[in-house]
Amino acid sequence: MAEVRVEHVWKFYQGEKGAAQRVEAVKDATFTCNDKEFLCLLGPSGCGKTSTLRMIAGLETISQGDIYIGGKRVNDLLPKDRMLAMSFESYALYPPMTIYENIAFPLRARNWSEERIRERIKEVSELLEIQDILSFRPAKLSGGEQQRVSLARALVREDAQVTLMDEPISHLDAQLKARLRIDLKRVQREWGLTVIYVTHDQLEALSMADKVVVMNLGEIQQVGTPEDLYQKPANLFVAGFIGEPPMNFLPCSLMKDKDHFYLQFSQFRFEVNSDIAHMMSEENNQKNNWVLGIRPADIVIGSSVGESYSLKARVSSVEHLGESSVVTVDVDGQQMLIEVPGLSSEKEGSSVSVYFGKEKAHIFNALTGKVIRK
Amino acid sequence: MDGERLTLGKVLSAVGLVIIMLWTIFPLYWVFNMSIQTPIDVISYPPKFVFDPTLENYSVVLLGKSWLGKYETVQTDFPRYFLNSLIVCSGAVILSMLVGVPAAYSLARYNFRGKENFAFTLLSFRFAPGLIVIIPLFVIFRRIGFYGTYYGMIFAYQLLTLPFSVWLMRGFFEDIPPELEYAARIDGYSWWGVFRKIDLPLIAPGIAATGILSFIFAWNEFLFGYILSSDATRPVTPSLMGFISYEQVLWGQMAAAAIITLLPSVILAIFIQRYLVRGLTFGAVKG
Repeated sequence: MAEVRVEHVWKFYQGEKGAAQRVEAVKDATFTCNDKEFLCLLGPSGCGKTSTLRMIAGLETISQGDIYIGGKRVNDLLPKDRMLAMSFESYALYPPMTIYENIAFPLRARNWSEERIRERIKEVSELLEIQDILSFRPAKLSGGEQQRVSLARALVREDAQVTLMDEPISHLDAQLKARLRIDLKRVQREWGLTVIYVTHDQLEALSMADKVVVMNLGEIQQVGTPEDLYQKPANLFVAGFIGEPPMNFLPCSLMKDKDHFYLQFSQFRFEVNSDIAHMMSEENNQKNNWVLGIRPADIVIGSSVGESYSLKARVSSVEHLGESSVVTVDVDGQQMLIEVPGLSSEKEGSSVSVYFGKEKAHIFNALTGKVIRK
Repeated sequence: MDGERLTLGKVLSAVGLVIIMLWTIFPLYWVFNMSIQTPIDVISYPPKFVFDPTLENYSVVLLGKSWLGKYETVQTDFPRYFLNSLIVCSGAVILSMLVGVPAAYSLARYNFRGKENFAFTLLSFRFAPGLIVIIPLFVIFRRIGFYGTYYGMIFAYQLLTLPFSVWLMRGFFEDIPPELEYAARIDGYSWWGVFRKIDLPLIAPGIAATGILSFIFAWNEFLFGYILSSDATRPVTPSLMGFISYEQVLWGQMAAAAIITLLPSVILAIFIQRYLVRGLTFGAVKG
């Protein structure tokens, strides 16, 4: 096992037909995956997370910057010399080989004895519950089974310094996904694996990762623990991407009334203390272009909690999701989602007062997307 | 009513198929007939459908025995020509596989300047009839000493088989997901190891199908063999012309030689039929 350091890494692609315009798939990515850490690269499709992973794997050249694995610069090493294991989104199982041979393939490359291979495969196949299908060929298996075999082929490598996973459980059904999330996390802990895991599913990232790297449009948006990302999003993108249902955003203007500063949305005013107001005006000297963000779960209908902001709203729809309900309200033409535990008794069309704690509100500069830290 | 029509349609299509089959098979049947007739029977008019079959045409063609003055014959060295064809066609197929597999792989996997132009130019060798290149080729071969040699023949035949092989195999390689190669590379194999352990087994049916098709193409070639070979390297197809002598055409022996010439193609096609279809539809049955 080893740590992985990615330092100022860029990936350019030359445009088609030798066009002058180059495509920047990854821009100045810098992060570290510590030894025995579970790191998730999270972002929407096309954000550069897979390119980043493939540069670590050595399947793509690094246009600029350096990648270190276990303190050793690996830019010029072939994939086979980087001592990695990887599982692919498309499974990439070798069709002419049986499942057993597929899983044994990386071990045979390293000249393991057949006996040792057999023991190791037994161990891994029990973990992933694929003992019964070892003699089959990949074409006979369902997508879920193929994906587990692909995982097995990556996990079988005890000697791998880092285990890379590219959307390894994205094609599984919800139940199996939930189970594998737990299993994967457990295996990673028990075996002390260093894992770099690419996903577009925030649930996977938040539930498994020790550290999440959020990417968008080739740029790293934020690096942090799942809690950090949820509670202290660094910018509008992270705030909107992390959390389900997504954070509510209210476009606001910064106003001053005598000694008091407040953010104004439509007819509603949210007072901000002068320290923050000063930070805000340093950041952005325009009155407009502010966004107030508030998570659906942080909003309460009907009763105020501590020091809180309030809004008058009209309920436009109620969605029951079992353990919780999502109430959509309309605030002067702006839709807001509110997550309520249990079954909500709100009636569609009724008027309600909604409250949220001052400290739960996030203030963003709409021009740069950056958060104003308190 | 509907059922009746359907049966009528079925009957008609069966009749149609039989007619097409007869149409296709008849020349072969006629050649075979001629090959087991005596020279008298061959030229008899009206043609004979009932006669005493004889294998003497075959023994003359294969063993070079003359018929002890009974009938006229020419001395042909047919087994030699047959061997020549085998050497030249196998050589051309092996050469186009050795060059074609890497070429097809790089066309399928790598991007390089002028890639599509290169591939198209290669294919365009197949657009032009061989007649266009045969005269310059003849002149060049005479000048550089390739004329009448196996090397020269193999080189010329390879012009037919290589473009075909490259294009067919390129498709097969493109059907192999690149992730398979990535996975194997990370699993610890070098480029060559990946190619040998992952690509080759997957593409083996494709290579077999391509090789056999190329072989049949090369085997059936006439023009290059006729013009570029000397007597020592003459392949079977032009050698059939040798049965046309001053006085007469030796139909029976020519037919026997033609039937023998047909055999390798037919045998190959029959034995590898399933393989061939699988090879050609490789892309349709992705694992």
